[in-house]
Amino acid sequence: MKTYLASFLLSLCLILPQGLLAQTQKEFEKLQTQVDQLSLKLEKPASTTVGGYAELHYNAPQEVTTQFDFHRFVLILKKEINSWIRFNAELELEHALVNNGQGELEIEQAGLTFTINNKLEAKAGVLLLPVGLINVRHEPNTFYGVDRPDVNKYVIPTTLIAEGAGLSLNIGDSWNLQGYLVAGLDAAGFSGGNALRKGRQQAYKSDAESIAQTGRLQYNAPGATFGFSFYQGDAKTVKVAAAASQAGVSLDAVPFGLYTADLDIQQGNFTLRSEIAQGVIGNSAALNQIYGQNVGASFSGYYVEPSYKFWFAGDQAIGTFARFEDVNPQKSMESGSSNGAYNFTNNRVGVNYWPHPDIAIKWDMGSKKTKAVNALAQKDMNLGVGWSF
Amino acid sequence: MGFLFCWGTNAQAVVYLSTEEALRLAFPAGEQRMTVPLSQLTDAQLAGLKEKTGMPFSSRITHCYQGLKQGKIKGYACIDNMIGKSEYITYLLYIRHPQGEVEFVELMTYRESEGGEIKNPAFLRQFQGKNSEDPVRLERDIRKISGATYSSRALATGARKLIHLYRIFLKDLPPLHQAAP
Repeated sequence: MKTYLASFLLSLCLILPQGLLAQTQKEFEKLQTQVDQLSLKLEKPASTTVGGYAELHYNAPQEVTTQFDFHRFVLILKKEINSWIRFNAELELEHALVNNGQGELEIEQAGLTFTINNKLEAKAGVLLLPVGLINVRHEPNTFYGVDRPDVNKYVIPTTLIAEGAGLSLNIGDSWNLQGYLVAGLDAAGFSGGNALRKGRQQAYKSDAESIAQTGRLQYNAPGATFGFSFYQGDAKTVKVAAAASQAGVSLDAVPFGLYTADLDIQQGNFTLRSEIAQGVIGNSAALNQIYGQNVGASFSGYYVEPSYKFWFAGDQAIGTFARFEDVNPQKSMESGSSNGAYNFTNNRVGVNYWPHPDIAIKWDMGSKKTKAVNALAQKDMNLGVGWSF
Repeated sequence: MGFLFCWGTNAQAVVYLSTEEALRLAFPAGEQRMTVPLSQLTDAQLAGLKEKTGMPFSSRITHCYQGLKQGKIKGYACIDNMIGKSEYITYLLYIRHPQGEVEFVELMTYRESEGGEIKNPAFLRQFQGKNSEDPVRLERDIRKISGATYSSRALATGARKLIHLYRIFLKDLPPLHQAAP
């Protein structure tokens, strides 16, 4: 059968005009080259990619000096080590310079991800903790406003990173569950105005006495993300224990907890984003006896941000937003009294212009008003450009 | 030629559908599939496509097939490769003829380390019914999946490219004669 077919094809070729055959042959060779090029591209070996993001701000508060700030420059390095292991690193330089305690150079993440199967991944290393929306995804072209919301500073101490390990599991098409054991916080840094923020160990020789747990349950569908996160542990580090015994204060533990709920919904040109966070610090009275920082027993904050994209041209877009924030780092006190100056609202409106989806040029203005007696609203205006690459 | 797209053995590649499986979804039994000679696109047509996507059109990464039933054109299936963040995403898009509307999009091979959430059927369903009158752009008529922005945008751009390929070129083709392998 095969032989018949071959001789039939051969005779067919002989009948075909020579010119046409040459033409077909040429086309075939061209095609072959194209196939080779393409297969090389598709089968390129484990690769390294470099990316990152940067943001330049021009901050003009009403009462304070106006300034430029090259707020963040971040390099992201990804390496596919083999078919199931990859390395992710994020190195950040804040304020363009590190000098005399100003500016920061820090690892934002440096970890390995092991893809166990389509559903399950394991991670280990210095991890970006999955607490809220912005802690994980903070490229400047992805959010409105020159600066990140204040909730992501005073309530969710963004960027929250720690050494640790854990698992990420996809459930069905839209659900994801993550859980990690990580280095905890150092209660020596807790304060009335900043709650947990200065207690972050930033993966700098972290005290391993205080292991924390963190996790997130997320629903993620096109145009709709809902998430719940927690972060809790004991912040009684060796340093805190020593300070307690020196001060003659009995302190068993400094349990802390941070619980957040967030949503990001897009419907047509309208987007609604919100993060709500609530935290607790146990034995704050004893802690305040040692450090005198007037730490609150609980703290909270939220923002609600409706936005609307009203102009498009090709890849370009312009959108406008309003953001209403409330930050309260001393929601309740176990000892001492709260300072109204730490409790504030920050209401803001602004515009983002995306000349390309990876670049945002931003303007916003707003006013912060504390709950202190006779406090006046502090107005400010900000310009910024942020991009990721 | 088609088998090329399921060789994906490189890092992280997840093959959801082989070329044969994907084409079988597009062309049920009883339908012939013909290879569309995309190399015949004129410079003006290529320029028109580039304007719609912002990137040059390459027939090296896009392959289209015409579905024929009793000599009548039923639709076009294109297997295309779009780069998400740094790797190719292979997918199939089927356009019904002569309506020129997308009937379905299927993810075939995913190679990026992050963003595989675009496999979500709710995401892919968004392309259903799109035609050249629609923007087919992310965050306009295509809602992105958070955490998969680059991959979401790659598919939106790819779908827009193929929809306009239909408008500019495929729509006017006669029934073809070269059967696809």
